[in-house]
Amino acid sequence: MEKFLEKYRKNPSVKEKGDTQKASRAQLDEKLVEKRDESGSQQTAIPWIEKYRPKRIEDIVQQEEVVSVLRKCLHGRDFPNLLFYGPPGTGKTSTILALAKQMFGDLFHDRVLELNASDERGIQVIREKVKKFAHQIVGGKRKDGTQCPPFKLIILDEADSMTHQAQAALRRTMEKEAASTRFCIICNYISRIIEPIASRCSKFRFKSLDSELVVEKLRSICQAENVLLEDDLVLEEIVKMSEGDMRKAVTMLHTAFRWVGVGNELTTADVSEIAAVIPMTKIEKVIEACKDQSYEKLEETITSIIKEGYSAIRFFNQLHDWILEDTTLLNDNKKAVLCEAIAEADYQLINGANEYLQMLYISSVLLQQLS
Amino acid sequence: MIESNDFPNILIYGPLGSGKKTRIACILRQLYGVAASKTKIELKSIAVNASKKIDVKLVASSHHIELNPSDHHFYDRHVVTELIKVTAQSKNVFDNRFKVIVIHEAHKLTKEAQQALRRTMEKYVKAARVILNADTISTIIPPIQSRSLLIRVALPSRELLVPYLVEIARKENFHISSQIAEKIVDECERNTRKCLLTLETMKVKSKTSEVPRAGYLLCIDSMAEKILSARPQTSIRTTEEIRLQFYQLQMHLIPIELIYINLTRKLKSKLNSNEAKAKLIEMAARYQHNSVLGSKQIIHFEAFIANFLDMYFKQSQ
Repeated sequence: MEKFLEKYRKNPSVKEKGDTQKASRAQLDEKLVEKRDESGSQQTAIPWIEKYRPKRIEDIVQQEEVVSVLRKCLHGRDFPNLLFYGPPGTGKTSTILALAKQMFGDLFHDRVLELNASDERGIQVIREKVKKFAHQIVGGKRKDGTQCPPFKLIILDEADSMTHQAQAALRRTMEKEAASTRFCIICNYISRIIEPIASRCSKFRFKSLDSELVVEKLRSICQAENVLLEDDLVLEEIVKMSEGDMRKAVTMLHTAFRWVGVGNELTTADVSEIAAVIPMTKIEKVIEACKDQSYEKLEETITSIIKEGYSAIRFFNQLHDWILEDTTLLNDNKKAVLCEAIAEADYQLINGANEYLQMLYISSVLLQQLS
Repeated sequence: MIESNDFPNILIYGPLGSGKKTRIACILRQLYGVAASKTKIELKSIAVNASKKIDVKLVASSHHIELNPSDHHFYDRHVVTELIKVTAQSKNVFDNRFKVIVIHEAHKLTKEAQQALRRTMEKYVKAARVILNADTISTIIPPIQSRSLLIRVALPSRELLVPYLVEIARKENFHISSQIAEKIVDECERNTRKCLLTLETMKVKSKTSEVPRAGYLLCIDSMAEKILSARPQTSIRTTEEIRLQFYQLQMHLIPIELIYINLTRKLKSKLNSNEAKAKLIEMAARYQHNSVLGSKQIIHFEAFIANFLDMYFKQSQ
């Protein structure tokens, strides 16, 4: 049976990808040899998101408070423990990395311990690794005699995924080693950080980025990388999709650029394809079916959405936007009912409930509300 | 994109049988040539804690590894941290090209494992790229999504599948008409893998004129009929009969989701009022969710049946 499958693995729709797939194996290999020669001379490409990560804290946009405090720290010696929190892609990790690089320069590797969720961060590690690192005493001078800050920095990235016990183990360490070590704790949700830790740090909230700033940054990247744009709306579309998340915006731009290839213009349609957005026409079809009070039509549309591979979470998000913006069909009470149902379904989806059933449920609520 | 050597982390998603794995295989082939298909199965053991070790099965070639961390349930975080990180950290000695790590069933990864992936994906991007293969992105945390190129794979359309099936039949030396092929496609809901398997079954049975309906669907159909013909006096017996059938389905490893979906579809088509339909859908959604959270599926399923019967009797009065 397996054989049969394997034999016809060549999915018909794969052909759409281009003629390259059809190329015989010999040709393919030839191509590869060529490519390998090229890659020897050419530098391995770095994703733009790393390439254009701010190198200095002055480059960080929008987070004025943090930047102004940190700039003072850079010159004076009074450096507090830091707690950065805010939505993803607002520059938390970038800020602290830029700061550390500026502060320590080539000593970066000796003075900074970066731990993130990919590292083992149980209570054991906190007790041993962190404590040991914190115990080391460092001087205020570099080898060549220039000044440098007399402390080490421990960056705990993605701290919301640390257990409470591990956080609790940090408490006393943070105080005891205050003379030689600073901590920087980074998280998305401050509520996940236990109170004793939060109270030991100066807290900085990272705001969602304004769209103009993101557009500006994207434009500068476009210029540097020779990205051709159809019009300015493309960038605005990207920013709208990324919801103030710089990383998402840059990744999206990069992938969109790769998608269309060098020398071609980037269009709004390309962007929405990459952002995995469900076309509004599909959503409108669902709403249409609900207006008609027809369950048969509804089932058909939803099945087609699922079969096209769109995800239920996206569907909910877009439907939710529509509900909030709508002024003609729904009154406030109905909107409330719908929003509650969507919230419930979202939770159930996260728990691993079936997408089809949840989507059907939400649209059936919509159908009832429209009757 | 692959040729430009500028290759992002990829999250490929789409319904079952839409060709995600095929695409990944194509990408790998194009990246590494024949070397990518020279794979061997390796067993690596990872110490989870002082007393426990788990064995991880992975498919590896000299350029890439493929693994399925969700097999290890809540130990998947260890797999991600240990194995993937080590692979990602070590550079390829012979040339400075990156490696590819393919993670199948990424939607089943626990939150912790996904958190662990976050920084790994960024930090070691020079040495390794991650390809995630998921059925849905609903359970993938946003940080991962924002770090990768999302590729949506839709099921192939009917117009594509029908000639494809006919063509295969021709190559395998038997004939099916395009009407039959259309029927197969409908029956299998455009799932390519299912279509092929059905086609093969038809060939083995050497009945090329009719499309076999999957056994579990027949079973679910009869379930629905029983439910709808139930009377208040005999409802207990009906539930008992249904329980037997349910166990039968479970013994054949039919996923509970499929039972809920198909049963709901069937029952819905027999209900008249929209109000009842809405209630049915709400119940199905609720109990399916419960059965994901809970441990004993039959309890939730029977609660669903009992609730439905209750509503059904009230309706028909």
